[in-house]
Amino acid sequence: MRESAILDADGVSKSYTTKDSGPHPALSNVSLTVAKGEFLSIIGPSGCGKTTLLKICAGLLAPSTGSLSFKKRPGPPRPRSMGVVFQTPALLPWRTVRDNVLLPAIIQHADRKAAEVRAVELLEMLNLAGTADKYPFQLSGGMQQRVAIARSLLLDPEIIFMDEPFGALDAMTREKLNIEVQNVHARTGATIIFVTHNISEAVFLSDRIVAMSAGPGRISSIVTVDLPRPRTANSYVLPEFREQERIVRDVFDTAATS
Amino acid sequence: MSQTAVHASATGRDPTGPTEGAPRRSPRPRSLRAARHLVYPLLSLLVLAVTLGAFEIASRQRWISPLMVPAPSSVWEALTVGFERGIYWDHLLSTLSATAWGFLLATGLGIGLGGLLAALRPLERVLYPFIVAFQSTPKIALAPLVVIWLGFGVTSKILVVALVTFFPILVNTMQGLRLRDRERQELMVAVGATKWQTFRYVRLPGSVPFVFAGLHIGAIFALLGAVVAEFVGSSSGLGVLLNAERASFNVPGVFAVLLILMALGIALNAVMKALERRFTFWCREEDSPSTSI
Ligand SMILES: Nc1ncnc2c1ncn2[C@@H]1O[C@H](COP(=O)(O)OP(=O)(O)OP(=O)(O)O)[C@@H](O)[C@H]1O
Ligand SMILES: [Mg+2]
Repeated sequence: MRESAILDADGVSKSYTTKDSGPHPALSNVSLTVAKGEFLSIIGPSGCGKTTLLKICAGLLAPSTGSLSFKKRPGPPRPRSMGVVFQTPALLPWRTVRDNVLLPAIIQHADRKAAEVRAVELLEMLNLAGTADKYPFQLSGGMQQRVAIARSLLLDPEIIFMDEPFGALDAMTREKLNIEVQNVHARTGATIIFVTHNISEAVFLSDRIVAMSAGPGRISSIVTVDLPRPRTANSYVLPEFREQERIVRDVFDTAATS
Repeated sequence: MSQTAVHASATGRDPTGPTEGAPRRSPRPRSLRAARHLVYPLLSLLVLAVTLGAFEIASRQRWISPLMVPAPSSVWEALTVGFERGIYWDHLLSTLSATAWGFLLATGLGIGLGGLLAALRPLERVLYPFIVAFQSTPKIALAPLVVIWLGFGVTSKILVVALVTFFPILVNTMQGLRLRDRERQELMVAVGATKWQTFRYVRLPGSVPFVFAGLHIGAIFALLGAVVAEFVGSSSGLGVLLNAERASFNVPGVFAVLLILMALGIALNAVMKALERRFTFWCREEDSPSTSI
């Protein structure tokens, strides 16, 4: 594992300073190594610091103590090599779907022609062909979130951070999108760090699941998921899947009560 | 013949089919729906007609003095005769051009200064008390002073218009540019945007609905400013004409000018609404100004 490590968090802590009640510890001494190409999910009760950990790993938030390294270079990944999908689509409403997807290329002055070709490919891959000239307000929530995924993939990032990307969607849409996320992972070979509340979603997608507990946030255990890929809609009902789910649920429950 | 057959088969996808569907979709419900659309405009027209009729009768019967409220027919006459004689055009043009130039000046200065202050936080802090002070002053009260400074010409009129129009545009621009959506900021950090790029791609377009709200209010204020400036001291314009008609006790003439001003106001409003829709069609509640000044 050491050889193929792509992201390494070492003893990361974070305490937020609030105006009225002083420092608020949100994350305490978290160490985590993510392997190249791995699909890693982070689960845990609400408020345990999942988003905080993800943002620190993505360099959107500075840790109070501890350090990060990406591909053996100290610090978080450069924007060029990462993609981020937030809990809400965070699309710019005045830009068309195509122009939203192209945003990273524009900001980073990447080759425009190549990016446009890639954008069309990605929209097709995420079943969004035909929406390129629409505006975000003309799309459903699930479509908007897929646009956000397409945007995160535009420059073929080596690592993608996803913070409960489907939290606001219904179970059916979610299952479909999870299959698409799995396809993305398989096709691009990118490393994905995925925050979720949903245990079966985590089991379905992950190679490893990090369970966190609160007060302040820390890693309570890590579960390896040994289910064959590709996983399909039928996987959910297989006994092996159910067994994995049960294991994770036990871990989750002890984490939530501890 | 064959064309109609093709047409029938094309619409035949309708499960009810053309033969069965046609009678069911009889013209009655559609005309009913159209009628329902017409009900409210018709009622509005009715209210207008009744009101005008009532005033016509009241004025002719001398229940109210025609010196206070003239009969609508005499207002209409004054208006048509005035247009025939061409007494309105010069004044109309004068008011319109002062409104337009003052508005453009205020737009340039308001958006420019708003942008500058949003970009330079310390400068904004320094100037903020003055902006609040001026914002709270009824700018229209400065009109007499402007006339003392600049005289009875077009310049003072344009300046008064610019003065009253400037602040809503400035304040709305600042408010729009100051807006910081946390998610969008984080997105821009994640894609590696510089401060300037965040400004250019997020804050600037995000401020457009606010700027347009300011421009809309500004346009209405501009017309108001022009007319007040003309009241206070000017040699031409609808306000001047209105004053002159009043001085000669030509009440229908006063009402005729008021009608023209009303038409101007409605037109201005419609143009601004159309522009606003054109440039902020993407705007949902969370992106629109919650308060407008
Ligand atoms: N900007 C902030 N300022 C102060 N405290 C914060 C801030 N952001 C998060 N916190 C606190 O840090 C803790 C962890 O928050 P975080 O958002 O990481 O939790 P989470 O696990 O992502 O929760 P959820 O599942 O509900 O999204 C919470 O107690 C929260 O109140
Ligand atoms: Mg969260």
